[in-house]
Amino acid sequence: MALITPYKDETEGVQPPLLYQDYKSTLLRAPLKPPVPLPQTLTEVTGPVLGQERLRPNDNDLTRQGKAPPIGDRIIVTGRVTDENDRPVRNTLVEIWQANAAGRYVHPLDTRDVPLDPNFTGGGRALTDDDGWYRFITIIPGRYPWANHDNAWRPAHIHFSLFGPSFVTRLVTQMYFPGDPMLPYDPIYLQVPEAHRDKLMSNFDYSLTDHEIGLAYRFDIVLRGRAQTPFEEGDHGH
Amino acid sequence: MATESVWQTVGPFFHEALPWEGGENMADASSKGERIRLVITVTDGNGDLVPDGMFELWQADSFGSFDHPDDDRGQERDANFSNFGRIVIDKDNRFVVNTIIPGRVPGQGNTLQAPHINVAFFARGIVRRLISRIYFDGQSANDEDPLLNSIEPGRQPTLMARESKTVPGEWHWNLALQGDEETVFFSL
Repeated sequence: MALITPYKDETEGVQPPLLYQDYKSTLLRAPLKPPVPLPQTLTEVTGPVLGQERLRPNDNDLTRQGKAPPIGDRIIVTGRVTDENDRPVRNTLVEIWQANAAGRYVHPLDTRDVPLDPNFTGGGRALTDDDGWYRFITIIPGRYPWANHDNAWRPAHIHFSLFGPSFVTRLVTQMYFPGDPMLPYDPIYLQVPEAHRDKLMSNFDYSLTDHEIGLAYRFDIVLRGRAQTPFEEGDHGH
Repeated sequence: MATESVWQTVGPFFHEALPWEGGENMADASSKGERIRLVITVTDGNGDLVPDGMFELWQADSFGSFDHPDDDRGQERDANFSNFGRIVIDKDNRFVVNTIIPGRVPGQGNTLQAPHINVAFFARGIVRRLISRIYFDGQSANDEDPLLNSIEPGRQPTLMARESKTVPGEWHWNLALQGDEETVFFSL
């Protein structure tokens, strides 16, 4: 008999809808039938435990992965990962990816007429520490146009991927920079309910800024948290 | 209490960060259990093959065990099997995984679930990972799986992988994002 400590149900009204008319790629890809609630069994409350073996040298410093530093405005991106019960999420893998300073990704399908940077892949990995903190050194990503609508530009953003302790707690999100002029025109940002868009926003943090590295942007992340009571598989009323 | 962060799409350009070499090899010759090659395709609302994206798979080993602190039953575990797989698309727009038919895992009530794989699909135009499950056609345990049986019979086949009639050990599963055959997706 396995003792299952389930996670809290998802909070309603927080997450963006799968189908969003203004984000054109969702039209043929968003499922149209309502999802079936998945009870939390041992398969759901377990998940990959990914640690140091997933990290390579300089994975958390995107300015030291090439032969020379990349072009761009060097910054620190750091924050704390906690759960809905305000507990730190320790030793969890954080993966990021972003465009270079000119607004281009290292990818065969990104053929925009701005330069690639031979010293910048845009990919990074880190583990959170015992208090849930992660820290990257990178550069401010450039903005770039995309084909969604006429004169569409993505605001500067960094993609984040996190695991947390279980299959339930997985999260992929994007981090934006305060005051970006393209935010009010970006359907990927706007699809998030207005009251929760602040969860996508980093904040300039002077206290974390380092005069030998650069300005610091803080981006905290909250993963799903456990419900309080464990129960035996056998009396699950989900 | 804080509420959870919000999801955003992975977009089209995640390849420098997420995939890793060998992510599709959950099992190899040293793994216990019935080894299979699982071939997954994805179709969109036009019925066209989706040419991008990434899958993450999570499943028990052949003993029905997970390498995870919450699986503290102390039962046998296969150290030569990875419960987790991460699979990117190949040049034929297929996602190919080397794995095994999983063992059975406890479910709701005093039940044992049928062998299943939890799957999550990520792609541009997919705002949040899409969660589904793969079951295996012909497994007798399917008849007593509480989750499978809670789904309307007409939609249950969307969760079934089927063994190839020409290539033994190769199983096929299509994830249909929309349409009459839309796959059953789960909320968690």
